[in-house]
Amino acid sequence: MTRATKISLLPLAILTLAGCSTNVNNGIAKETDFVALADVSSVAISSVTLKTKTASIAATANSGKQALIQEAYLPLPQGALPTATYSAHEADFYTDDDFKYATSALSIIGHSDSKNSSYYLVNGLNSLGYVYSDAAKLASHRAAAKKLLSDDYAYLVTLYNGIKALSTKTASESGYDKVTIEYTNINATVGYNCVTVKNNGTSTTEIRYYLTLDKAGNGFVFTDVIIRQSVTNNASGGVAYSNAEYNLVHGDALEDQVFNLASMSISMAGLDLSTVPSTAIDQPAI
Amino acid sequence: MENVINQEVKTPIKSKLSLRTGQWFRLSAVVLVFIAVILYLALPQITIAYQKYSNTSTAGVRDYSFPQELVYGISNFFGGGYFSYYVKSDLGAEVLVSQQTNFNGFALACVLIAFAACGLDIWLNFTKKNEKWSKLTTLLFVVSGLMAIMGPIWFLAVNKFGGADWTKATDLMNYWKYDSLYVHDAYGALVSGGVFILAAISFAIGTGLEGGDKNDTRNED
Repeated sequence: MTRATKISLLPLAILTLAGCSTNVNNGIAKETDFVALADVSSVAISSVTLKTKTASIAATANSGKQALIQEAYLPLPQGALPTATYSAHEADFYTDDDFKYATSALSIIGHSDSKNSSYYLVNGLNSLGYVYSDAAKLASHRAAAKKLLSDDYAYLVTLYNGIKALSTKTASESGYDKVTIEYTNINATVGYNCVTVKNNGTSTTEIRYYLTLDKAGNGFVFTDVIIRQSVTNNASGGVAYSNAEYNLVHGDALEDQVFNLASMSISMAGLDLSTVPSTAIDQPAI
Repeated sequence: MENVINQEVKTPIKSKLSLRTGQWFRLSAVVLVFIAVILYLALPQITIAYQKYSNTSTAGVRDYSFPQELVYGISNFFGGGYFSYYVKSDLGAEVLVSQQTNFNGFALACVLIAFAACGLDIWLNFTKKNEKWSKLTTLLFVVSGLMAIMGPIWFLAVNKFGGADWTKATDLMNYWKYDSLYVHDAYGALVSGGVFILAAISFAIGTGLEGGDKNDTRNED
Protein backbone atom coordinates (compact mmCIF):
# COMPACT_ATOMS: atom_id res chain seq x y z
CA MET A 1 0.00 0.00 0.00
CA THR A 2 1.50 3.31 -1.04
CA ARG A 3 1.71 6.29 1.24
CA ALA A 4 -0.81 8.14 -0.91
CA THR A 5 -3.28 5.28 -0.58
CA LYS A 6 -2.85 5.22 3.17
CA ILE A 7 -3.38 8.95 3.38
CA SER A 8 -6.51 8.75 1.22
CA LEU A 9 -7.87 5.97 3.41
CA LEU A 10 -7.63 8.13 6.53
CA PRO A 11 -10.64 10.36 5.80
CA LEU A 12 -12.52 7.31 4.54
CA ALA A 13 -11.93 5.57 7.84
CA ILE A 14 -13.04 8.65 9.73
CA LEU A 15 -16.19 8.95 7.64
CA THR A 16 -16.91 5.28 8.29
CA LEU A 17 -16.55 5.98 11.98
CA ALA A 18 -18.98 8.85 11.55
CA GLY A 19 -21.54 6.43 10.19
CA CYS A 20 -21.61 4.51 13.43
CA SER A 21 -24.94 4.98 15.10
CA THR A 22 -25.55 6.01 18.66
CA ASN A 23 -27.97 4.25 20.95
CA VAL A 24 -30.72 6.73 20.08
CA ASN A 25 -32.62 5.89 16.93
CA ASN A 26 -34.57 8.75 15.41
CA GLY A 27 -35.67 10.14 12.08
CA ILE A 28 -38.62 10.03 9.72
CA ALA A 29 -40.89 7.24 10.86
CA LYS A 30 -41.54 4.35 8.53
CA GLU A 31 -44.21 1.75 9.17
CA THR A 32 -41.57 -0.61 10.55
CA ASP A 33 -40.58 1.97 13.18
CA PHE A 34 -43.93 1.61 14.91
CA VAL A 35 -43.71 -0.74 17.89
CA ALA A 36 -46.20 -3.41 18.88
CA LEU A 37 -48.74 -2.28 21.46
CA ALA A 38 -49.11 -4.30 24.63
CA ASP A 39 -52.22 -6.22 25.47
CA VAL A 40 -53.85 -3.79 27.91
CA SER A 41 -55.01 -6.62 30.14
CA SER A 42 -51.37 -7.48 30.79
CA VAL A 43 -50.64 -4.04 32.24
CA ALA A 44 -51.88 -2.50 35.46
CA ILE A 45 -53.01 0.95 34.39
CA SER A 46 -53.63 2.84 37.59
CA SER A 47 -54.55 6.24 36.21
CA VAL A 48 -55.69 8.01 33.10
CA THR A 49 -55.94 11.77 32.92
CA LEU A 50 -57.11 13.99 30.10
CA LYS A 51 -56.52 17.70 30.46
CA THR A 52 -57.53 20.34 27.98
CA LYS A 53 -56.61 23.93 27.42
CA THR A 54 -57.61 26.55 24.90
CA ALA A 55 -56.30 29.95 23.92
CA SER A 56 -56.61 32.33 21.03
CA ILE A 57 -54.69 35.10 19.39
CA ALA A 58 -56.88 37.76 17.83
CA ALA A 59 -56.43 38.88 14.27
CA THR A 60 -54.26 41.92 13.72
CA ALA A 61 -56.12 45.18 14.32
CA ASN A 62 -55.76 46.38 10.75
CA SER A 63 -57.18 43.23 9.20
CA GLY A 64 -60.67 44.65 9.68
CA LYS A 65 -62.41 41.28 9.92
CA GLN A 66 -61.63 39.82 13.32
CA ALA A 67 -63.24 36.52 12.41
CA LEU A 68 -61.83 34.76 15.42
CA ILE A 69 -62.63 31.12 15.81
CA GLN A 70 -63.52 30.38 19.38
CA GLU A 71 -64.68 26.79 19.47
CA ALA A 72 -63.18 25.09 22.48
CA TYR A 73 -62.78 21.63 21.04
CA LEU A 74 -62.60 21.56 17.33
CA PRO A 75 -63.09 18.33 15.45
CA LEU A 76 -60.15 17.19 13.40
CA PRO A 77 -60.32 18.02 9.70
CA GLN A 78 -60.96 15.44 7.05
CA GLY A 79 -58.16 12.96 6.68
CA ALA A 80 -57.04 9.59 7.85
CA LEU A 81 -56.88 10.25 11.58
CA PRO A 82 -59.88 9.71 13.86
CA THR A 83 -62.13 12.54 14.92
CA ALA A 84 -62.41 13.24 18.63
CA THR A 85 -63.93 15.66 21.08
CA TYR A 86 -61.79 16.19 24.12
CA SER A 87 -63.37 16.76 27.51
CA ALA A 88 -61.21 16.85 30.60
CA HIS A 89 -61.49 13.93 33.01
CA GLU A 90 -59.49 11.67 35.28
CA ALA A 91 -59.87 8.09 36.48
CA ASP A 92 -57.67 6.35 39.06
CA PHE A 93 -57.72 2.70 40.04
CA TYR A 94 -56.46 0.94 43.15
CA THR A 95 -56.36 -2.46 44.79
CA ASP A 96 -59.63 -4.01 45.98
CA ASP A 97 -61.31 -2.47 42.94
CA ASP A 98 -61.24 0.95 44.59
CA PHE A 99 -61.44 3.87 42.23
CA LYS A 100 -61.72 7.60 41.83
CA TYR A 101 -62.88 9.50 38.81
CA ALA A 102 -63.78 13.02 37.87
CA THR A 103 -65.31 14.73 34.87
CA SER A 104 -66.33 18.32 34.33
CA ALA A 105 -69.67 17.48 36.03
CA LEU A 106 -68.81 15.23 38.96
CA SER A 107 -66.12 13.69 41.11
CA ILE A 108 -66.60 10.30 42.73
CA ILE A 109 -64.48 8.27 45.11
CA GLY A 110 -65.28 4.59 45.59
CA HIS A 111 -63.69 2.71 48.45
CA SER A 112 -64.20 -0.82 49.76
CA ASP A 113 -63.62 -2.02 53.29
CA SER A 114 -64.50 -5.60 52.51
CA LYS A 115 -63.24 -6.84 55.87
CA ASN A 116 -66.03 -4.91 57.57
CA SER A 117 -68.45 -5.13 54.65
CA SER A 118 -68.46 -1.36 54.33
CA TYR A 119 -68.45 0.30 50.94
CA TYR A 120 -68.07 4.03 50.54
CA LEU A 121 -69.20 6.36 47.78
CA VAL A 122 -67.97 9.92 48.28
CA ASN A 123 -68.59 13.05 46.28
CA GLY A 124 -65.08 14.36 45.72
CA LEU A 125 -66.32 17.92 45.21
CA ASN A 126 -67.64 18.36 48.78
CA SER A 127 -66.32 15.25 50.56
CA LEU A 128 -69.86 14.15 51.42
CA GLY A 129 -70.65 10.50 51.03
CA TYR A 130 -72.46 7.37 52.05
CA VAL A 131 -71.43 4.05 53.45
CA TYR A 132 -73.19 0.92 52.25
CA SER A 133 -73.11 -2.70 53.20
CA ASP A 134 -73.80 -3.64 49.60
CA ALA A 135 -70.77 -3.73 47.31
CA ALA A 136 -73.01 -3.48 44.27
CA LYS A 137 -73.72 0.16 45.11
CA LEU A 138 -70.27 1.01 43.77
CA ALA A 139 -70.58 -0.99 40.58
CA SER A 140 -72.15 1.57 38.28
CA HIS A 141 -69.63 4.27 39.20
CA ARG A 142 -66.74 1.83 38.92
CA ALA A 143 -67.99 0.92 35.46
CA ALA A 144 -68.14 4.61 34.54
CA ALA A 145 -64.54 5.06 35.68
CA LYS A 146 -63.36 2.04 33.74
CA LYS A 147 -65.23 3.26 30.67
CA LEU A 148 -63.24 6.48 30.76
CA LEU A 149 -60.05 4.45 30.67
CA SER A 150 -61.21 2.02 28.02
CA ASP A 151 -62.58 4.79 25.80
CA ASP A 152 -59.41 6.83 26.11
CA TYR A 153 -57.19 3.86 25.45
CA ALA A 154 -59.27 2.75 22.49
CA TYR A 155 -59.04 6.25 21.02
CA LEU A 156 -55.27 6.34 21.52
CA VAL A 157 -54.90 2.95 19.84
CA THR A 158 -57.00 4.15 16.91
CA LEU A 159 -54.94 7.31 16.72
CA TYR A 160 -51.69 5.33 16.86
CA ASN A 161 -52.82 3.00 14.11
CA GLY A 162 -53.99 5.98 12.06
CA ILE A 163 -50.59 7.64 12.31
CA LYS A 164 -48.93 4.32 11.51
CA ALA A 165 -51.09 4.03 8.40
CA LEU A 166 -50.21 7.62 7.44
CA SER A 167 -46.52 6.70 7.44
CA THR A 168 -47.12 4.61 4.32
CA LYS A 169 -48.91 7.36 2.40
CA THR A 170 -48.04 10.60 0.71
CA ALA A 171 -49.67 13.78 1.97
CA SER A 172 -52.11 13.86 -0.96
CA GLU A 173 -53.07 10.22 -0.40
CA SER A 174 -53.80 10.92 3.24
CA GLY A 175 -56.07 13.90 2.61
CA TYR A 176 -53.76 16.48 4.19
CA ASP A 177 -51.70 19.21 2.61
CA LYS A 178 -48.69 18.23 4.66
CA VAL A 179 -47.84 15.30 6.89
CA THR A 180 -44.62 14.75 8.83
CA ILE A 181 -44.06 11.82 11.15
CA GLU A 182 -40.86 11.52 13.17
CA TYR A 183 -39.87 9.03 15.82
CA THR A 184 -37.35 8.37 18.57
CA ASN A 185 -36.62 4.92 19.93
CA ILE A 186 -34.50 4.51 23.04
CA ASN A 187 -35.45 0.88 23.59
CA ALA A 188 -37.57 1.20 26.72
CA THR A 189 -39.36 4.28 25.41
CA VAL A 190 -40.52 5.37 21.98
CA GLY A 191 -41.81 8.75 20.93
CA TYR A 192 -43.64 9.80 17.81
CA ASN A 193 -44.44 13.29 16.67
CA CYS A 194 -46.79 13.75 13.77
CA VAL A 195 -47.76 17.04 12.16
CA THR A 196 -50.70 17.39 9.80
CA VAL A 197 -51.71 20.55 7.97
CA LYS A 198 -54.96 21.05 6.10
CA ASN A 199 -56.20 24.19 4.37
CA ASN A 200 -59.90 24.07 3.49
CA GLY A 201 -59.96 27.52 1.91
CA THR A 202 -61.32 29.51 4.83
CA SER A 203 -59.02 28.24 7.55
CA THR A 204 -55.82 26.29 7.97
CA THR A 205 -55.73 23.61 10.62
CA GLU A 206 -52.46 22.33 11.96
CA ILE A 207 -52.44 19.48 14.41
CA ARG A 208 -49.37 18.14 16.19
CA TYR A 209 -49.54 14.78 17.87
CA TYR A 210 -46.89 13.76 20.40
CA LEU A 211 -47.16 10.14 21.50
CA THR A 212 -44.83 8.64 24.08
CA LEU A 213 -45.03 4.96 24.90
CA ASP A 214 -43.13 2.93 27.47
CA LYS A 215 -42.36 -0.74 27.44
CA ALA A 216 -44.76 -2.65 29.66
CA GLY A 217 -46.30 -6.08 29.66
CA ASN A 218 -45.83 -7.74 26.31
CA GLY A 219 -45.31 -4.55 24.31
CA PHE A 220 -45.58 -0.79 24.63
CA VAL A 221 -48.23 1.21 26.47
CA PHE A 222 -49.14 4.88 26.04
CA THR A 223 -47.80 7.06 28.82
CA ASP A 224 -48.08 10.65 27.61
CA VAL A 225 -49.93 11.92 24.58
CA ILE A 226 -50.26 15.56 23.59
CA ILE A 227 -52.52 16.80 20.82
CA ARG A 228 -52.07 20.44 19.87
CA GLN A 229 -54.31 22.05 17.33
CA SER A 230 -54.28 25.51 15.82
CA VAL A 231 -56.91 26.85 13.45
CA THR A 232 -55.88 29.97 11.62
CA ASN A 233 -58.51 32.02 9.87
CA ASN A 234 -57.10 32.57 6.41
CA ALA A 235 -58.82 35.93 6.02
CA SER A 236 -58.24 37.56 9.40
CA GLY A 237 -55.16 35.76 10.66
CA GLY A 238 -56.79 35.02 14.01
CA VAL A 239 -55.68 31.77 15.59
CA ALA A 240 -57.53 29.49 17.97
CA TYR A 241 -55.63 26.86 19.90
CA SER A 242 -56.90 23.67 21.49
CA ASN A 243 -54.71 21.34 23.48
CA ALA A 244 -55.53 17.92 24.82
CA GLU A 245 -53.12 15.92 26.93
CA TYR A 246 -53.39 12.33 28.08
CA ASN A 247 -51.34 10.93 30.89
CA LEU A 248 -51.50 7.26 31.82
CA VAL A 249 -49.78 5.76 34.83
CA HIS A 250 -49.03 2.08 34.64
CA GLY A 251 -46.89 -0.42 36.45
CA ASP A 252 -46.70 -4.00 37.57
CA ALA A 253 -49.42 -3.71 40.20
CA LEU A 254 -52.01 -1.31 41.54
CA GLU A 255 -51.50 0.49 44.82
CA ASP A 256 -53.77 0.78 47.85
CA GLN A 257 -56.09 3.76 47.89
CA VAL A 258 -55.45 6.41 50.51
CA PHE A 259 -58.90 6.94 52.01
CA ASN A 260 -58.95 9.45 54.82
CA LEU A 261 -62.31 9.18 56.56
CA ALA A 262 -61.44 11.98 58.98
CA SER A 263 -61.61 14.52 56.16
CA MET A 264 -65.08 13.38 55.01
CA SER A 265 -68.65 13.56 56.16
CA ILE A 266 -70.12 10.11 55.75
CA SER A 267 -73.81 9.29 56.19
CA MET A 268 -74.99 5.81 56.88
CA ALA A 269 -77.65 5.76 54.24
CA GLY A 270 -78.11 2.25 53.06
CA LEU A 271 -76.30 0.73 55.99
CA ASP A 272 -77.94 -2.33 57.46
CA LEU A 273 -79.65 -1.08 60.65
CA SER A 274 -78.72 -4.20 62.56
CA THR A 275 -75.10 -3.08 62.44
CA VAL A 276 -75.83 0.40 63.82
CA PRO A 277 -75.02 0.74 67.55
CA SER A 278 -78.13 1.03 69.69
CA THR A 279 -76.65 3.84 71.73
CA ALA A 280 -74.57 6.79 70.73
CA ILE A 281 -70.90 6.46 71.33
CA ASP A 282 -69.56 9.40 73.25
CA GLN A 283 -66.09 10.58 72.86
CA PRO A 284 -64.14 9.28 75.86
CA ALA A 285 -62.94 11.84 78.37
CA ILE A 286 -59.26 12.55 78.22
CA MET B 1 25.26 10.13 -20.00
CA GLU B 2 22.39 8.62 -18.10
CA ASN B 3 23.70 10.09 -14.84
CA VAL B 4 23.90 13.50 -16.40
CA ILE B 5 20.27 13.32 -17.51
CA ASN B 6 19.19 12.29 -14.02
CA GLN B 7 21.02 15.19 -12.49
CA GLU B 8 19.42 17.61 -14.90
CA VAL B 9 15.98 16.36 -14.00
CA LYS B 10 16.42 16.17 -10.22
CA THR B 11 18.19 19.45 -9.62
CA PRO B 12 15.31 21.82 -10.44
CA ILE B 13 12.84 19.77 -8.34
CA LYS B 14 15.14 19.86 -5.36
CA SER B 15 15.46 23.61 -5.62
CA LYS B 16 11.68 24.07 -5.74
CA LEU B 17 11.23 22.14 -2.51
CA SER B 18 13.91 24.06 -0.80
CA LEU B 19 11.92 25.66 1.98
CA ARG B 20 13.14 26.96 5.26
CA THR B 21 12.06 25.21 8.46
CA GLY B 22 9.76 28.11 9.34
CA GLN B 23 8.02 27.83 5.99
CA TRP B 24 7.50 24.11 6.51
CA PHE B 25 5.92 24.81 9.88
CA ARG B 26 3.61 27.39 8.37
CA LEU B 27 2.58 25.11 5.53
CA SER B 28 1.95 22.29 7.98
CA ALA B 29 -0.72 24.55 9.51
CA VAL B 30 -2.64 24.33 6.23
CA VAL B 31 -2.46 20.54 6.29
CA LEU B 32 -3.58 20.53 9.90
CA VAL B 33 -6.56 22.72 9.06
CA PHE B 34 -7.70 20.32 6.35
CA ILE B 35 -7.39 17.44 8.81
CA ALA B 36 -9.31 19.49 11.37
CA VAL B 37 -12.11 20.18 8.87
CA ILE B 38 -12.40 16.48 8.04
CA LEU B 39 -12.55 15.69 11.75
CA TYR B 40 -15.03 18.53 12.24
CA LEU B 41 -17.39 16.95 9.73
CA ALA B 42 -16.79 13.32 10.54
CA LEU B 43 -16.61 13.10 14.30
CA PRO B 44 -19.40 13.76 16.82
CA GLN B 45 -19.53 17.43 17.68
CA ILE B 46 -22.44 17.59 20.08
CA THR B 47 -23.30 15.38 23.02
CA ILE B 48 -26.86 15.43 24.24
CA ALA B 49 -27.08 14.22 27.77
CA TYR B 50 -29.72 14.38 30.45
CA GLN B 51 -28.10 15.02 33.74
CA LYS B 52 -29.15 16.02 37.18
CA TYR B 53 -27.17 19.23 36.97
CA SER B 54 -29.02 20.44 33.90
CA ASN B 55 -30.76 23.59 35.02
CA THR B 56 -33.43 23.17 32.38
CA SER B 57 -34.05 19.54 33.16
CA THR B 58 -37.27 18.33 34.62
CA ALA B 59 -35.00 16.09 36.66
CA GLY B 60 -37.31 13.16 36.21
CA VAL B 61 -36.73 9.46 35.94
CA ARG B 62 -37.13 9.75 32.20
CA ASP B 63 -34.24 12.16 31.87
CA TYR B 64 -31.86 9.95 33.78
CA SER B 65 -32.74 6.91 31.73
CA PHE B 66 -32.17 8.69 28.43
CA PRO B 67 -29.00 7.39 26.80
CA GLN B 68 -26.28 9.77 25.71
CA GLU B 69 -26.86 10.94 22.15
CA LEU B 70 -24.18 12.11 19.74
CA VAL B 71 -24.76 14.53 16.88
CA TYR B 72 -22.17 13.99 14.18
CA GLY B 73 -20.41 16.80 12.39
CA ILE B 74 -22.17 16.30 9.07
CA SER B 75 -25.58 16.49 10.72
CA ASN B 76 -24.47 19.45 12.83
CA PHE B 77 -23.07 21.27 9.77
CA PHE B 78 -25.50 20.55 6.94
CA GLY B 79 -28.63 19.76 8.95
CA GLY B 80 -31.10 17.07 8.04
CA GLY B 81 -30.20 14.81 10.93
CA TYR B 82 -32.27 14.29 14.04
CA PHE B 83 -31.88 14.71 17.75
CA SER B 84 -34.25 13.89 20.56
CA TYR B 85 -35.23 15.19 23.96
CA TYR B 86 -38.07 15.33 26.42
CA VAL B 87 -40.33 18.32 26.81
CA LYS B 88 -42.93 18.92 29.45
CA SER B 89 -46.05 20.93 28.84
CA ASP B 90 -47.66 23.15 31.42
CA LEU B 91 -50.48 20.62 31.76
CA GLY B 92 -48.00 18.01 32.93
CA ALA B 93 -47.52 15.59 30.05
CA GLU B 94 -43.89 14.86 29.26
CA VAL B 95 -43.23 13.61 25.75
CA LEU B 96 -40.25 12.29 23.86
CA VAL B 97 -39.83 14.25 20.65
CA SER B 98 -37.37 14.30 17.80
CA GLN B 99 -36.30 17.38 15.90
CA GLN B 100 -34.53 17.79 12.59
CA THR B 101 -31.27 19.69 12.69
CA ASN B 102 -30.96 22.88 10.65
CA PHE B 103 -28.09 24.05 8.50
CA ASN B 104 -25.48 25.52 10.81
CA GLY B 105 -24.19 28.84 9.50
CA PHE B 106 -21.82 29.14 12.45
CA ALA B 107 -20.16 25.85 11.50
CA LEU B 108 -19.77 27.14 7.95
CA ALA B 109 -18.24 30.33 9.33
CA CYS B 110 -15.82 28.25 11.39
CA VAL B 111 -14.63 26.41 8.29
CA LEU B 112 -14.50 29.58 6.16
CA ILE B 113 -12.44 31.37 8.80
CA ALA B 114 -10.06 28.42 8.89
CA PHE B 115 -9.77 28.44 5.08
CA ALA B 116 -9.22 32.21 5.12
CA ALA B 117 -6.39 31.63 7.59
CA CYS B 118 -4.97 28.99 5.24
CA GLY B 119 -5.11 31.46 2.35
CA LEU B 120 -3.31 34.08 4.39
CA ASP B 121 -0.82 31.43 5.54
CA ILE B 122 0.12 30.47 1.96
CA TRP B 123 0.16 34.09 0.85
CA LEU B 124 2.46 35.09 3.72
CA ASN B 125 4.69 32.11 3.17
CA PHE B 126 5.55 33.01 -0.40
CA THR B 127 5.40 36.79 -0.41
CA LYS B 128 7.46 39.55 1.08
CA LYS B 129 6.78 42.45 3.44
CA ASN B 130 3.38 41.19 4.57
CA GLU B 131 4.33 39.73 7.91
CA LYS B 132 2.13 42.18 9.77
CA TRP B 133 -0.75 39.94 8.67
CA SER B 134 0.72 36.97 10.54
CA LYS B 135 -0.92 38.03 13.81
CA LEU B 136 -4.32 38.12 12.15
CA THR B 137 -3.63 34.73 10.56
CA THR B 138 -2.77 33.19 13.91
CA LEU B 139 -5.85 34.77 15.40
CA LEU B 140 -8.07 33.31 12.68
CA PHE B 141 -6.68 29.82 13.30
CA VAL B 142 -7.41 30.23 17.01
CA VAL B 143 -10.88 31.63 16.34
CA SER B 144 -11.80 28.66 14.15
CA GLY B 145 -10.61 26.34 16.91
CA LEU B 146 -12.64 28.15 19.53
CA MET B 147 -15.69 28.14 17.27
CA ALA B 148 -15.39 24.37 16.91
CA ILE B 149 -15.22 23.97 20.67
CA MET B 150 -18.18 26.34 21.12
CA GLY B 151 -20.30 24.09 18.88
CA PRO B 152 -23.08 23.43 21.44
CA ILE B 153 -23.89 27.15 21.59
CA TRP B 154 -24.24 27.37 17.81
CA PHE B 155 -26.19 24.12 17.78
CA LEU B 156 -28.80 25.47 20.17
CA ALA B 157 -28.97 28.78 18.32
CA VAL B 158 -29.47 27.45 14.79
CA ASN B 159 -31.97 24.85 15.90
CA LYS B 160 -33.97 27.57 17.64
CA PHE B 161 -34.01 25.59 20.79
CA GLY B 162 -35.76 27.25 23.68
CA GLY B 163 -36.74 30.22 21.53
CA ALA B 164 -39.03 33.01 22.60
CA ASP B 165 -42.15 31.18 21.39
CA TRP B 166 -41.45 28.44 23.92
CA THR B 167 -42.46 30.74 26.72
CA LYS B 168 -45.28 32.55 24.97
CA ALA B 169 -48.21 31.10 26.87
CA THR B 170 -50.80 32.24 24.35
CA ASP B 171 -49.15 30.23 21.57
CA LEU B 172 -50.17 26.79 22.71
CA MET B 173 -48.62 25.10 19.69
CA ASN B 174 -45.11 25.95 20.77
CA TYR B 175 -45.38 26.51 24.51
CA TRP B 176 -43.35 24.18 26.70
CA LYS B 177 -42.74 24.45 30.39
CA TYR B 178 -39.48 22.53 30.62
CA ASP B 179 -37.09 20.86 28.27
CA SER B 180 -34.58 18.24 29.21
CA LEU B 181 -31.96 19.02 26.58
CA TYR B 182 -28.47 19.42 27.93
CA VAL B 183 -25.78 19.72 25.31
CA HIS B 184 -22.04 19.83 25.62
CA ASP B 185 -19.01 19.13 23.49
CA ALA B 186 -18.61 15.70 22.05
CA TYR B 187 -15.07 14.37 21.79
CA GLY B 188 -15.00 15.34 18.10
CA ALA B 189 -15.39 19.02 18.97
CA LEU B 190 -12.43 18.87 21.32
CA VAL B 191 -10.33 16.92 18.82
CA SER B 192 -11.11 19.10 15.79
CA GLY B 193 -10.90 22.29 17.86
CA GLY B 194 -7.57 21.08 19.21
CA VAL B 195 -6.24 20.45 15.71
CA PHE B 196 -7.32 23.97 14.65
CA ILE B 197 -5.42 25.34 17.66
CA LEU B 198 -2.49 23.11 16.77
CA ALA B 199 -2.50 24.70 13.32
CA ALA B 200 -2.33 28.11 15.01
CA ILE B 201 0.62 26.96 17.12
CA SER B 202 2.35 25.49 14.10
CA PHE B 203 1.85 28.72 12.17
CA ALA B 204 3.07 30.77 15.11
CA ILE B 205 6.20 28.64 15.47
CA GLY B 206 6.82 28.97 11.75
CA THR B 207 6.36 32.72 11.95
CA GLY B 208 8.79 32.84 14.85
CA LEU B 209 11.35 30.84 12.95
CA GLU B 210 10.87 33.15 10.00
CA GLY B 211 11.65 36.09 12.23
CA GLY B 212 8.13 37.35 12.74
CA ASP B 213 6.84 40.61 11.39
CA LYS B 214 10.10 42.36 12.32
CA ASN B 215 11.80 40.54 9.49
CA ASP B 216 9.71 41.53 6.53
CA THR B 217 12.75 41.84 4.36
CA ARG B 218 13.96 38.29 4.92
CA ASN B 219 13.02 37.19 1.44
CA GLU B 220 14.58 40.15 -0.33
CA ASP B 221 18.04 38.61 -0.25
